[in-house]
Amino acid sequence: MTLFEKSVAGRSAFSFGFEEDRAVAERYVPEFARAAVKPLPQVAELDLVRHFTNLATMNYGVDTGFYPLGSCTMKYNPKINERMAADPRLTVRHPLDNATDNQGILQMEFELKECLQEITGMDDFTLQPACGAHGELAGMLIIHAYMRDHDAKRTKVLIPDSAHGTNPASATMAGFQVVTVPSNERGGVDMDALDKLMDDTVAAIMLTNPNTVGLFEENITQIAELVHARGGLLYYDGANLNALMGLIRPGDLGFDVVHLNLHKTFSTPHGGGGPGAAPVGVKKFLADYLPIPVVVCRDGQYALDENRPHTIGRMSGFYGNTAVLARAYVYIKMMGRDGLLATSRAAVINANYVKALLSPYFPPAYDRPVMHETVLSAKGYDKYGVTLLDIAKRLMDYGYHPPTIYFPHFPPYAEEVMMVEPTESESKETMDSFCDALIKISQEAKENPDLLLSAPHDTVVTRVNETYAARHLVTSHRDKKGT
Amino acid sequence: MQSTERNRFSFIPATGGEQQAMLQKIGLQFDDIVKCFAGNSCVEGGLQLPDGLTEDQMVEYWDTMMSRNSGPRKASLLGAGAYMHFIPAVVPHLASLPGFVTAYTPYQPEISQGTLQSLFEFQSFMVELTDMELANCSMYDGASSTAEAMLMAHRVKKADRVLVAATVNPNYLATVRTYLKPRGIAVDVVRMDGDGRVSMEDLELKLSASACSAVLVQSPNYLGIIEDLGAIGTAVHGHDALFVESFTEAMALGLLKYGVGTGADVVIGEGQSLGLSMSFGGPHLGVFATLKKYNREFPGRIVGESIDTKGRQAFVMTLRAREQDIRREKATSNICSNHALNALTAAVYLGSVGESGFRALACENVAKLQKLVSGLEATGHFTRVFKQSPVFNEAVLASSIAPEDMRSRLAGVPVFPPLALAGGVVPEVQGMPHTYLVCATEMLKDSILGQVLGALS
Ligand SMILES: Cc1ncc(COP(=O)(O)O)c(C=O)c1O
Repeated sequence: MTLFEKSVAGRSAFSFGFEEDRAVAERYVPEFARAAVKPLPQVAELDLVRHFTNLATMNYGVDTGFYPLGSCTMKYNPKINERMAADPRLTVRHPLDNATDNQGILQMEFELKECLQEITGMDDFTLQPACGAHGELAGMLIIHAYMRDHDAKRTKVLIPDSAHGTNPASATMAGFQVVTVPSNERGGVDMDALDKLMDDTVAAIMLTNPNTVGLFEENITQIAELVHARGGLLYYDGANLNALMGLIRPGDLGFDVVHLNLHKTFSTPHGGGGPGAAPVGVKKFLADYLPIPVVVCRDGQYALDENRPHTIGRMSGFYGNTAVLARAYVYIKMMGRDGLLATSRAAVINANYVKALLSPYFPPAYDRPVMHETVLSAKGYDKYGVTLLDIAKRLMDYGYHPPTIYFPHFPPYAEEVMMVEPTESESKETMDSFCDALIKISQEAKENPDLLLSAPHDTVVTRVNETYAARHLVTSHRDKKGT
Repeated sequence: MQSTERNRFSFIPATGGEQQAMLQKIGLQFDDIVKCFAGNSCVEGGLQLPDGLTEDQMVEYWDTMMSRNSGPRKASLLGAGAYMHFIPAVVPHLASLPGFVTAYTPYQPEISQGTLQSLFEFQSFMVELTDMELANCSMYDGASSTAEAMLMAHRVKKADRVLVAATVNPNYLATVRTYLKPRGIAVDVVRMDGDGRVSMEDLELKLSASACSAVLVQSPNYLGIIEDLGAIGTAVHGHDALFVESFTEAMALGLLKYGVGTGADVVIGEGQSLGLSMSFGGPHLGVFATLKKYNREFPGRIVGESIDTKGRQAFVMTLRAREQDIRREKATSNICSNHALNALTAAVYLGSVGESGFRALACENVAKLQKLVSGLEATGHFTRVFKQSPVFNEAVLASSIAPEDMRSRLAGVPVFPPLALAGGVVPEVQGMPHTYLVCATEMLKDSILGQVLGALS
C-alpha cells in the first residue's frame, strides 16, 4: 500500500509554529496563479516512520549482504563518510555565499582534486558532473569544443561494441556521430578494424579500461599511438578504475580526458540510483575547456575560477555534488597511498578467485586473468530449460544479490552472461558461500529446474511482470485512481 | 605480510594469509595477473599521496578544515536557486536507512521493492504538485533537467531553435546553452518587460519570426516574480512549440498553479527545498514531469505498478526502451544513475508536512518575504523594484548600501547575506545604485529579522 492509500483526512506530522494562512495567499498571490488544493497524503509521524522503515527492509543493500553487481563496484560504504557529509558546516552552506566564508569546503574540494590528479595522472579536474553519464557528457563536450577550435571536420567518435550504453548516448548528446568498433577474439579492441576506422573525421575513441569484460586492454599503447598519430583524442570511462589504483594511471597510458565514478571506486553509496559524482580530469591542453567554475588555490586562498576562456559552460546549477565529493574525499584520506593500492590488489585477487571457483560450472569466454570483475557464461544450462535469468532469481533465495546479467552485450557475449564483481570489501568466506550457492543452483538446474523457473520464492514479491507494467501504464497514484 | 599480522585496512577484510590461499587456488601470483598490463610499467614509486588516516585522525583533520568556514547560519537572505528551509528530523532519519542508501539502481525488482515503491510515491507527489500526467523518478538537478527538457522538445518538434525567457535563472540558461550548442540548436532570449516578467510582446514577435521547438519560462522567475503562466501558455499554443514551465523554488508548488491548467507540456525544476540541505550546491534534485503523449520521448527512469506471479501489487522500472542501456546512441538521454535517494527524501518530506502543512509552508514563505521587504523599506535604505508584480519568497530591492558594506553590516547576524545583482539586470532607482535579490523563508524568525533590520538601519 502506498503512502497515498494510507492517508486519513485530518492526520498530520506537521510540526511548525504556524498554520495555513489563506489570507496571505489571497492578498499577495494573484488569482490566476493560485492552485487548487493538491491532494497529498495526510499521515501522522509514526505512520510515516513505519511506512518507510518497512520499505527499507524490502530492499537489498551492501549492508544487507553480498552485492556482486558487475560494473557497479558495490563496495562497502564507510559510515564515517556519512557522518562527515552530514556536518552542518557543510550541509548548511549556501552555494552562492562568498568563497572567503567557505574556505573549508573549498579546501576539501581542492585537495580532492589534487588526489584525483595524482591517482589518474591527469593535470586538472572539474568536480561538477553529477553521475558517470554526466561526466561522459562533460568530457565529450570538451572534446567537441576542442575539435571545433582545431579540426572541425572531426565529427565521429569510435566506441567499442563492449562499451556501456552511456558511452554512445553521451557522445551523441555531445554532437558526435557514433561509430562502433568490434572486439577481437581476446576481448579487446580489434586493431585491424581500428586501423581502418581511425581517419581524419574521427575526434576521439572512448575506452573503458579494464573494459566491461574485466580485461585490461592489451593493446592500449598501440591504440594510443595510433589514435594520437592520426589526430584523435582518447577518452577514458573510469567506471572500472577500482582495478588500477596505485598500479597504473590512465594519464600515463595516454588518455586525454577521464571521468571517474566516485559512487563506485571511491565508496560513496549508490542510494538506490544516485546521487553520485563524476569528476572529469583532463590533460593541460584541455584545461581551458573545463566547465566553470573550477576550484583553484591562489596564495593559500581557495576560490571558484570562472575565467576559462574556452569553457564549455556550465553543466549544472552550481558546482557539483559537494556532499558526495566529501564522502569520497574522506575515503581517499583514510585509505592513503598504501590503502588504495591494497584496495585494487584485493579487488583483483577477489575477482580472479571467484572466477577460479566458478569456471568449471560457468565458463569464462576468454581464459585470461581478469582485473576487478569476471564475465561468466550460463549458456550450457539452456538444455535443462533454464535461462540465466532463472539462475539469477534463484540466487535471491540463497540471500544474494545477483550479478549483472545479460551485459556486456556483444559477440561472443550476446547471450547468457553474468558479470561478477566481488570488490575488495568481501571476505573469502563470503565469496566461498556465494560460489557454493551458484554451484548448488547449477545442480538444481539439472535435477529440479522448476525450482529455478519459479524463483525467487523467499522474497516479498515473486517475479514481477514487466510486460504488464508497460501495458497498464500506472506511474503515479493519480493513474491508480483513474483505473 | 604474515597471516598473524593485524590487517591495517579496516575496509578490506582479507588477511595476507587468506590472499595467499586465494592466489593458490587461482594458480597465479599477483604479479602474474598484473603482467597483463602489457608492458606498461606500474606507477613508479607508488602514488604520491600521504599515508592513510585512522578514523579519529580523520575526524580531527576534517574538524580543523571545516572550522575555516564562517560561523553557523540560522536563516538565509540568499536564494537564487538554493533555499534554506527547516528539515524535520524524521526526513534525514528515514532517508539514511541503509536499505535505501546502500542499494544500487533497482534492476532486480524482487529485492528492490523499497526503492521502487518510494520512487513511485515520489512520482505521485510530483504529478500532484506539478499537475502533470507523468513524472520520472528524478534528474540530477533543476538546471540539467531544464536542459534535458529543451532536448526533448527538440526531439518532438525538430526546429533548431528554442526561446528562453530572460528572467530564467542565469545558471540554468548557461546549462541550456552548454547542452544545446553542439547540437546546433539556437537559444533565443525573450526580453523582460517593465514589470520584471516575460514581455508578451517580444514573445509573440519571436514566436512568429520562425519555428521554435520550445518556450522556457520560470515562475517564480529569477527576480522572484510570479509569471502569468496561463497567458504565456495560450500564446505558445498559438504556435507549434512545447511550453516548458520551470521552477527553482519547489516550495512555490504548495500555492502556485503549474501544469495542464496553464498549458504546460513539460514542468521541470529544482526539488532541493523538499527536505534536502543546500550542501554548497549539491546533491539536489531534478524534477521532470510531462504529458503521457510524450511517454516515448522523455529522459530518465520511471517506475510503474505491476503484479507478481501471484497477482500481488509490485513495482518495477518501466518504459525502459527509451534508455541508454537498451537504445545506446538512439536513447532519449544518456542519463543512467539519477538522484533517486534525493527523490526518496523529497517523498518523505512531503509525507511529513502533508497536504495542509505544505500549503501552510508556502503561505508562511510569502508572509515572511513581505515582512522582510516592508522592514527593509522602513529603514529608508531599500525600495522594492517592480513593486506592482506579485512575488513568492524572493524580491528585488534597490539599496543605497553597497555589497561590501552589506556584508560587513551583516557580519554579526547569523544569516547568509542577499545576492548582489550585477548592474544592468534591473532598471536603476534614483539614489539607490545597488540592487539585491532578497529571499525569506520560514527560517527567518522574528528575532533574526530584528537583528537583520537592526544591522541595516
Ligand atoms: C562502464 C560504465 N560507464 C558508465 C556508467 C554510468 O555511470 P552513471 O550510472 O553514474 O551515470 C556505468 C554505470 O552504470 C558503467 O558501468
